[in-house]
Amino acid sequence: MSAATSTAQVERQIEQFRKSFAIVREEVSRVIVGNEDNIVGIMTCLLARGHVLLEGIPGIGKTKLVQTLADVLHLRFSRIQFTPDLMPGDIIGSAVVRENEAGRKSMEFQRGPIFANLVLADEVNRATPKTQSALLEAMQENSVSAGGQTHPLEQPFFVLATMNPLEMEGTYPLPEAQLDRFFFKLRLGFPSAEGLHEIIDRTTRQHNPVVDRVLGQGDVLEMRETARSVPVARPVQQYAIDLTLATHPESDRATEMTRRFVRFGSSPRGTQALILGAKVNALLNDRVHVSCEDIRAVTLNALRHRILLNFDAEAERVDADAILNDILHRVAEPR
Amino acid sequence: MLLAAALVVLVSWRLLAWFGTLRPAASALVILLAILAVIALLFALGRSLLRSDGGLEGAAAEADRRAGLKNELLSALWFAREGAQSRWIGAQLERAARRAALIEPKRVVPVRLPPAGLAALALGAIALATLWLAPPLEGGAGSARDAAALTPSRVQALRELVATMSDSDTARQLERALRTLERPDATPEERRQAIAQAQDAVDRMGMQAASKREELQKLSQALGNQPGMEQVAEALAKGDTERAAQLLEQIQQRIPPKGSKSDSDSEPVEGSPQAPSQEQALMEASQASGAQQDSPPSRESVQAAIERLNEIARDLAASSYVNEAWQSVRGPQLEQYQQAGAMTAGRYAEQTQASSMPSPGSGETPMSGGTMFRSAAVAQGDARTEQEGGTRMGEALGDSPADPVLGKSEERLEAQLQQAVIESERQDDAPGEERTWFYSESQQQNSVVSRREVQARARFAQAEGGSNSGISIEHRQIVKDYFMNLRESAQ
Repeated sequence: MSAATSTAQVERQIEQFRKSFAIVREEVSRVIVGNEDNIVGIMTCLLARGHVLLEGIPGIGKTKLVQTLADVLHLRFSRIQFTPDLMPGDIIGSAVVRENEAGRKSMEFQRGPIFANLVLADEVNRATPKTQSALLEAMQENSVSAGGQTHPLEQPFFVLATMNPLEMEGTYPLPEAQLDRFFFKLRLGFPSAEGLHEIIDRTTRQHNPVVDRVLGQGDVLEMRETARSVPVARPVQQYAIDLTLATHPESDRATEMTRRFVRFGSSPRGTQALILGAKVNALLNDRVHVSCEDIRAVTLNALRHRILLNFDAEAERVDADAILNDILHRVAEPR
Repeated sequence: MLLAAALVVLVSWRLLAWFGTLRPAASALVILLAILAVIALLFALGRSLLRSDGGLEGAAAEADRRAGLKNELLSALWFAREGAQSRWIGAQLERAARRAALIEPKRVVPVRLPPAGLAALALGAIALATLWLAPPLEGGAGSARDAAALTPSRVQALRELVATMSDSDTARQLERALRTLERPDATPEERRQAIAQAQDAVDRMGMQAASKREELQKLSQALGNQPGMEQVAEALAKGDTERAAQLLEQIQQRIPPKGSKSDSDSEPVEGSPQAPSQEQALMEASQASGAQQDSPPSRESVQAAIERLNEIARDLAASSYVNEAWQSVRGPQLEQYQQAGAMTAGRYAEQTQASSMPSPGSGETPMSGGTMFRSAAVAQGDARTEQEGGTRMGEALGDSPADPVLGKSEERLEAQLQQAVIESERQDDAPGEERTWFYSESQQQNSVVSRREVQARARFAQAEGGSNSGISIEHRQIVKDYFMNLRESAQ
């Protein structure tokens, strides 16, 4: 294969990636009003083999967004409503006794709702930590262990967990170690007045908008492979590492705000999320390489849930986004 | 960068040419600013060199930044150096190569100045040209040199006046100071000392002139009571010695010449003082002008008085001219010396203090910032006291004691009067009956009146004792009787 052919093939892959991505976004936008950045963020997580945590007040379309995405992608979709009495077996499944025609009884694993391509874990912080850890283990291992057997999850396996930041009573906030397993944490804001008009127009008519299934399971897996292929130069990778180290208060690259308000910085998973998310972002911008701008574009979503703030930050109402913006402002690009 | 350094050097050189060496503080400031500017330029130059030390990676990053290539050239350079092989890296390198080929260096590294920069450059050039062509600052080294150039003519005029002076010590001192000031290689310190020396001589000359004026004043008062000499005394009181000399000449003409014997007697004997004292000569002249038949006039004594008066007039005029000429020389010299900055505040104060003694004759006191005139010090008033007449002479340094308040002091009425009662002869007065009261001087008031009387007598005695005659009032009648008897016996 000549170099020209290879280059043309890469160019076609990039073109196909961008085209598929644009189609999905366009279809989702037929149902979901606004939230363009969040749609891109969710798609980035899906293509970077990650999982996403959606945070927003009730009624702003978190579940609707995930359902629409599942419809567009033509993937198996399941929804789990997390409640305090939800047990791990309710998620991953359980072994049941089956009796065949011969009257012989055997244990058979009954798959739970986690065996799907798109799993919506609604209000994940309302379940007990035991149940949460069962979900998070499946997210990390891409497999489920039950009854002494390991059951691999079908790819693509993509979990979208939602969380309500208001009603904290009777909830079990996710510990930092489990939050770290989410690729992105997205915040869904309240729509604008214009967006509300559009929402009312679309949802109060006789017929709700219907989306087409434009992307199949194989297409998603191919896009995942394409995203992983984007090369990253060491100086750009160094920039991502600098950003990560700048979140650690004990690091010599920490900023003044980090030293003052951060208790623990981002884990290496944060750096991985920066690079993988930047790769998807580079493809979306028709680039064959990752740039520092791509890293900056995903920094907030990738690191905001990986920074543990101290008491001073809570007392002065300093959130992780403010600290990350300060880091982005102060950390210099490679020269 | 080089242009900026050249600009700094040119401006500094120009400013130094302005200030010269006569303003060390300003020159030092200019040099300090120039050094700081050069250090800043060197720092910026070094920083730019260090920044460009990144080699190809630095150049690629800079080109990415300027051309908005999002780290494309930097990534391509790193991939090429690492030698990594993959379809994606090949595609990236190919893209980077295409993009780099499209880059125009002029656009990436523009050498053109923006319009605002051009305008700033033009304004800077105009400002520099204005700065270059502007005349030197007022009071700079040039004006100081001009002031120094005027000195020889003024010094020559002063030297001619000094030659006419009778006091040789003062003349020699002034001459030494003038020689120092005339020397072009004289240091500021030598000039300062010369100025102080000359000022000292001029002050001494002023003191002598004032002493002569004082003598004339006393003499006028002494002659005021002599018959026939009133006009002479009046002229002397006014300080018009020429007029007094003319009047004495008229008196001399009225005196008949003596015989040969008397002429030979009147010739000065060798070893005797050639010039009689002024007072003695004039007193003799007054006796001669008394038109007394028994006191033949002495033309020689009158002639000596006339010559003495003329000599005093010359000295006074010379003193005045020398003082005026010295002020014209001293002013530019002092200005030049001050511009040189070598005169410290302490030395300037020392110099001004040394020359701030009031002149006894005129009362003028040269001080820093001007001359304090005290012409009232020699004015003669008709008021009873110096304070009322405005002729009271205070100390030049302002240490005069406070004057008493004019007018009578106010005393409280109860301090001046006391209540007294006339005792009634009737003893059977009712207790509530009104008595006859009157007010009399209190004991305190009596003491005040007595004290005032004592003070008045003492003041009168003091005034009489300090009169021109120098004879106290208690002895005046005795002296008068003595001279009356002596005159009668002579007749």
